[in-house]
Amino acid sequence: MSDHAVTHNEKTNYLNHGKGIWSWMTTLDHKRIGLMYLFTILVFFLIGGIFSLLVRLELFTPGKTIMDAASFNQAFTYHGSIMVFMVIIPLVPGALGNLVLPIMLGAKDVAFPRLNLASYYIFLAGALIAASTLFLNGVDTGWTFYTPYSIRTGTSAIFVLFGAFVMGFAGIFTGINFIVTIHKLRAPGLTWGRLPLFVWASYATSVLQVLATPVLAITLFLLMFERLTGIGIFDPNIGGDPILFQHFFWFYSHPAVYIMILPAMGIISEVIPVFSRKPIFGYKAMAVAIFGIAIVAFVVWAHHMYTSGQSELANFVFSLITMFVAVPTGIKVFSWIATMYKGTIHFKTPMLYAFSFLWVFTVGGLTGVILAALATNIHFHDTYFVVAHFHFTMVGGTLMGFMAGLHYWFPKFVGKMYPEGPAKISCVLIFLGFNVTFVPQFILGSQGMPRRYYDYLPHFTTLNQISTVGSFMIAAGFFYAAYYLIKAICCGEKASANPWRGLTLEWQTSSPPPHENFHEIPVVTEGPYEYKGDKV
Amino acid sequence: MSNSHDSSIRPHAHHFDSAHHEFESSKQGMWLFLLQEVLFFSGIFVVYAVIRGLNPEMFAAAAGLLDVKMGLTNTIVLITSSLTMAMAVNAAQTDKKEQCVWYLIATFFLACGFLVVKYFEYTHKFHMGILPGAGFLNPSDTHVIIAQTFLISAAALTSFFVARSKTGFRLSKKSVWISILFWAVSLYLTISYWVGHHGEHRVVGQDAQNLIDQFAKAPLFFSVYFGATGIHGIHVLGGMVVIAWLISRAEDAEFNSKYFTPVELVGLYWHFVDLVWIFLFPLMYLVA
Amino acid sequence: MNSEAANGMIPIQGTEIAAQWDAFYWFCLIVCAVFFFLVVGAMIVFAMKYRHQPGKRPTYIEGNHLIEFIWTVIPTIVVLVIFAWGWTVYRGMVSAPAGAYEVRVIGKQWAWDFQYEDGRVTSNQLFVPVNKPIKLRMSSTDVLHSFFVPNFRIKQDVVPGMYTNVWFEATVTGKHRIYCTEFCGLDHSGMIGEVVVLKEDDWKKWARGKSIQADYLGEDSIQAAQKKPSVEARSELSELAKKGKQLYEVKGCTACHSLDGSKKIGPSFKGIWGRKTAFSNAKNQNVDANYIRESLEYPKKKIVKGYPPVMMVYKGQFTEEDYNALIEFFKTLKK
Repeated sequence: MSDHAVTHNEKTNYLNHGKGIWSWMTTLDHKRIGLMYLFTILVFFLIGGIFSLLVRLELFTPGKTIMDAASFNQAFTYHGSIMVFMVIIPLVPGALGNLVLPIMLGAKDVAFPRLNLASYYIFLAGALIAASTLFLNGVDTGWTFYTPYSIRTGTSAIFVLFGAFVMGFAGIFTGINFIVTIHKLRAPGLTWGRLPLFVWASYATSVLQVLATPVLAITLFLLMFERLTGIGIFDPNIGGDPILFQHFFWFYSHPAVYIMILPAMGIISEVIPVFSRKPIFGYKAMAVAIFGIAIVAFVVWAHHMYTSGQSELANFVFSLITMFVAVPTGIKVFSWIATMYKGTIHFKTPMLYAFSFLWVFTVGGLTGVILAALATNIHFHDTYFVVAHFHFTMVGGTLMGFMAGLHYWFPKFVGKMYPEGPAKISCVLIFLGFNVTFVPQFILGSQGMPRRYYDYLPHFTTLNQISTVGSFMIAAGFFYAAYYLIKAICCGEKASANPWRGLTLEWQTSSPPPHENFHEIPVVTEGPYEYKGDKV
Repeated sequence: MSNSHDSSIRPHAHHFDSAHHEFESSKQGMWLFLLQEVLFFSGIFVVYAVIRGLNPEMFAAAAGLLDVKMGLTNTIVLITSSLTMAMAVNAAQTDKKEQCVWYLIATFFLACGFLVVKYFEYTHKFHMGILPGAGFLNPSDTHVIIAQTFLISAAALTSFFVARSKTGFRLSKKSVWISILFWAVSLYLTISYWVGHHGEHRVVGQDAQNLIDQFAKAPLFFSVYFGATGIHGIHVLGGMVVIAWLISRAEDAEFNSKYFTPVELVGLYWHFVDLVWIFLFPLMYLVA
Repeated sequence: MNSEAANGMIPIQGTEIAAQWDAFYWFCLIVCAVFFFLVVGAMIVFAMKYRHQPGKRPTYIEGNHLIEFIWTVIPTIVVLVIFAWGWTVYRGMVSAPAGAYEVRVIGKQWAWDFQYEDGRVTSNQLFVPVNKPIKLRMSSTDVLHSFFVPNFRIKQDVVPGMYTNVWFEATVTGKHRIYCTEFCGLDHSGMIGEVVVLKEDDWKKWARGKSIQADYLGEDSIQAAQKKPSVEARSELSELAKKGKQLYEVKGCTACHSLDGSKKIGPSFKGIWGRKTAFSNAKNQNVDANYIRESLEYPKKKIVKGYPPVMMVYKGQFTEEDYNALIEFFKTLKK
């Protein structure tokens, strides 16, 4: 890595290059676009989070607590749809990826800056279209839109479907942009073998976006036309097949969960070496494992459908192949732990989030193996066990990975440090709150409590109440984080160019970076994890 | 043509090393876009395969109600438009500005022709009572409204793109006629439908009734037919809007041997649209 | 009383399969716990042991092929073992023994209807004898539902337009909760029922229309179900099958299909149930419930070889009860 001291005038950077709201709204700067994604998505996270609190409040007691069944069905549908389509899928690529990726590659921007801006507006438009249903008849199908219920329901499902359809294109265009950027805009000397793992992860995620999202597009398109004109492909009344819908839906939605987790894994692969002062253990295997996960992601979709009425042969095949996802995932988890071995570990907030990730994601991944097995799946399918599993992986995985990245790159892009004490408190609160919320849900599921239940039998009450308390702990953690982050943005301590002494290219430019990322494009001479000599 | 350091050579974007670097990257981006389009259309082909696989007899009988002559005409029209598109790309690459404009106009005309033939095919089906799914023998205006909305939106977009040029909103001669033509066709088709058929939903002939008597699931064939050709038609429409934009830019002398990227990329897209039709035509029309 | 009071982390074992399931599940839990403690334990140990202290330097390690090999191969073996064991238990869970007593289940928004072999119908309560295999043939009249009995570890989606099956042999008397576990709209969480497992004598009494004392159910007595069952011997038609024969006569089937083997416009129904049939436009198959239903709704889909494709479409002309009756009737037409 080049080691230029940053001596240029640090007063002009991407934040003050060009003033006024119009300069932001028409920006072609990937960093500004990344910030716009970040703030927009955090607003949706707040809304989706409020829906989750409403759901948990209702579930505090059996029977009606604060709302009727129709409203509850809408509340969990909005919670799921908003979190999946407007938060977890676009979060790391759209926000952190846009901010970091070009700089990490030593590039001046992404390959197609105008397409990048268009992606953001397409995302916003799709989200607003979907959110408009809150003022119409809402939607109550669950985020999975299974037919025939999604065909028959009298709610404004069509706008949510259309909104998700539009948002999908944002993901596709971002994916195209990142792939071409990684291929064509690497700095001199940045060979494939020297790519940071966040880049590899973003690359695999982008491939998944490009290949899987169009299948969602056609699925939503067919369902929209089903509701508009009754084409009947998924409607048994007209001779269609509801299980075909499930195949179509999961063909996208399973790769989608890897779109959610891979970038977060990329972040963890950056954070642990920096805060252990050691190279990532088994770099090649880590990169190969990313692609192993991405490839297997495409051929396991029907493990969501063991009880759907599909054949035993299908169940056999999909269960067997799903097992193989565990192997590359395990390689990654073991390698992260091994990276810490004989390192010197600095307990900064990004590292604390990495610890949280490792704990929570491991549980999520292991319960995934239990769900992949046929016999156990039959009992757990559509119960709270599944709900707990996917929250452990999506929240524990993606969201905690995101928080690690947010704190890791905060000084770089804001130019100021967040306060370490409050950040650690918030991390612990979120981690504890998360476990209090979702560990009881594993037990609820084992006991047989189905998901998407407005009312439940009295013997499920205690665990539901514990879970609700936990959800408010998580909320408190995030509100506190919002508070100290906003405070740091306005009045935090000034950050240096490389407060963590990282070796990837983004640390070779000032904090915040200049408009064109680098005053001089660096020349790369070694890998990103060479913690040797005075670099340690 | 002009020599190196003058304004006719469009500067490449700042984050690329050279115009060639930019061109290669743009092409890669376009191929990736076409890759995801392949996945998109694969979905509808999977639906086709599932429904046909489960109902082979029904499929063959229902396909008999399609007009092969019209389908064949459309195939020839679209293949020809691919040819004119390729000629336009070549003209741009060899600094032949006028030729480029005329070939793009020809492509636009042919695409327009494709949609007009489609219009007559679809409305003929509607008269016979053939509509997708629940609409079979149950005609209503919803389908027509949807199609007309797409048509008018495309006309509006086309106008915007041809009106906007490098030096602001200046209407250039040939482009404005393209837009006028599109508006004329769209408005004629829209208005004539409502004037001619308002309130009427008569079904002509017994073919649809006979078919559904024999095969209760026949409407599914037409769901696939209208779904697949409809999505393809939307892509043709989108292509036309983009081609109109190219015509306007070509008239402004934006394309030359040093910079022809947009023409090349749109050319790739157009060939893809043609290719999809080449699969669709035999699979839908020639299985009777 | 319902068995929920006795439930701990996992429901009680209401069937023998449930015990097999539990053994597999505990194995999985233990494996997961081992890996969790290895991973998180190592993480905590390393975090403490290798925390940064002034003067300490890290050791530069890029990897170790042996370790990477081990932690690739061992998890592969472990997951394959989990898969194999899971598959084995699953096979037992889905393979109904021959001769199981069949109950027809209709899921609808928002209740369960159970139709027994002798025509009785109960709503939301499924009465079965203990220690006897029971097979459920299920379909929905509207949207997707899913039939879930936690104590039996069984679950199967209930789909409109097709039949799905599930089976169990209850070993514990009492009431076992049924949940709908595929979101089906407004009262999804209210679509709750119970499997009432009776001692065999009690079940027979109940089937004959008598009310029974059943202290082990926590209630004073169980009322008899709606319709009176027939007490005919096996060779005579059950009530349901009789109704099916009536439909055969009044709906016009006799015009084309005989019962005595004589060839009419359509194939004779003599010996039809389970008969291996060749089609001119589809693969050979044996006649079963799905085929009967399909022939009525989409007759042109499978044309029996040697016969013309002229059968009328009966879609929308039969209720679910009618279909059940017809199928019971066809079942009596065995070779």
